[in-house]
Amino acid sequence: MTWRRYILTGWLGLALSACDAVTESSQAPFPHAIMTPQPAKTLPDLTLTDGTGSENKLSNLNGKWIWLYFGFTHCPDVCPVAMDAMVGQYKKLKQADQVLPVFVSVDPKRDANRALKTFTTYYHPAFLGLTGKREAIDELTRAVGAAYVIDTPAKPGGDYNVSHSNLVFVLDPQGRHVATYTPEEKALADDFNALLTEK
Amino acid sequence: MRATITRCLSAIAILGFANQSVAAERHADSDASRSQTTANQLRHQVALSPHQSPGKAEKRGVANGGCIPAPNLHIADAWIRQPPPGARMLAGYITFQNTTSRNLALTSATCDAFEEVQIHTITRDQVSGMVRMVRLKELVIPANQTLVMAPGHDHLMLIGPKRDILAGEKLTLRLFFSDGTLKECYPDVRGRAKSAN
Repeated sequence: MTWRRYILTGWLGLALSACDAVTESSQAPFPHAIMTPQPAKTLPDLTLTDGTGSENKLSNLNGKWIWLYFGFTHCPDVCPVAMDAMVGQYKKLKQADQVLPVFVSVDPKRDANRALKTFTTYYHPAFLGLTGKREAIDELTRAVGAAYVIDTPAKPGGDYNVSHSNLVFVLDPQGRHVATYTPEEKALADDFNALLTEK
Repeated sequence: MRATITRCLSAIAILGFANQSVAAERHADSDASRSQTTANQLRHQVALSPHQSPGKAEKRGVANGGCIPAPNLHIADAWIRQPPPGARMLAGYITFQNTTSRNLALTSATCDAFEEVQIHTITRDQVSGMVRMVRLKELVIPANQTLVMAPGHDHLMLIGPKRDILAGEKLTLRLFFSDGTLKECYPDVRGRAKSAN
């Protein structure tokens, strides 16, 4: 077991060094990000819905920094914590009008309705809820490197759980994936206050 | 002589009535909880009955569904996160203090306000950042230690609320342990401001 641990530790060390190298070499404005794609990754211009039937192309969101989070509204533990953390950080922003937090439900079967709007409004009225067809969701999650797995309900029509990435993907105002954060702590708020103050 | 016979008949009648009352209460209790009663709880109830004297067993049976209250397990904090509107699954958190010299395991739980309560933990995939909720058969509370259920870690998953769950109210949770003991606790439902702290 010990050698495995050392190998794992070594890999982690290498990975962290690589991340540092990427961050330093690009002088990226996201010092607390856990990952910054190099170069920034342009996302496919997918069409999603806001749960009330209104369609939104991702390109329609261009012009603002996007904090993109994947989850599902019935999530009992992970999403509520992440949403509370994101709301807390959003409230700390000095220029919140330049940032749009977007919650993308990977569970359109239950969330392609008004429940999505109710959910995001419950946390913060400025947050946008989106979902869409399975193909669009899959293409978007693949593009940013997110993952999710929908469990099979124990009985037909019963409740079920969804495992999903607990990460915030940052898109720049051109709609490119430029950084990935964990939702906790205050990393997003600190980095964005520094970033938006500089401009 | 007549007085003695009368007293005996009265005593028999009282005992009969008392037994009927206990039976009726048990019946009502089992009816109310039948839909929630798990195989684990039934196992606890069956396993415990040989160790209890009939008199105590009846009293305990009425109060605790056949289980002995857990005397050396303390609950320091119990709370449930207020759900967003329409949520069908909620998370509950408890801090356990096991003051005994042997491990105890939480094996099942019920709550009148929910169709089902499951024990869950969270695992994380370091590569994808994916978090996965995993249902546990039991959650061990090590001897002489404190186990803290917390957001993003071990928790109870309360499934299928039977009514609206409001911030500030107290619910009743019945927790069943591997040694056949039962603990009842009363978590408060915390709104977002409190639970975020």
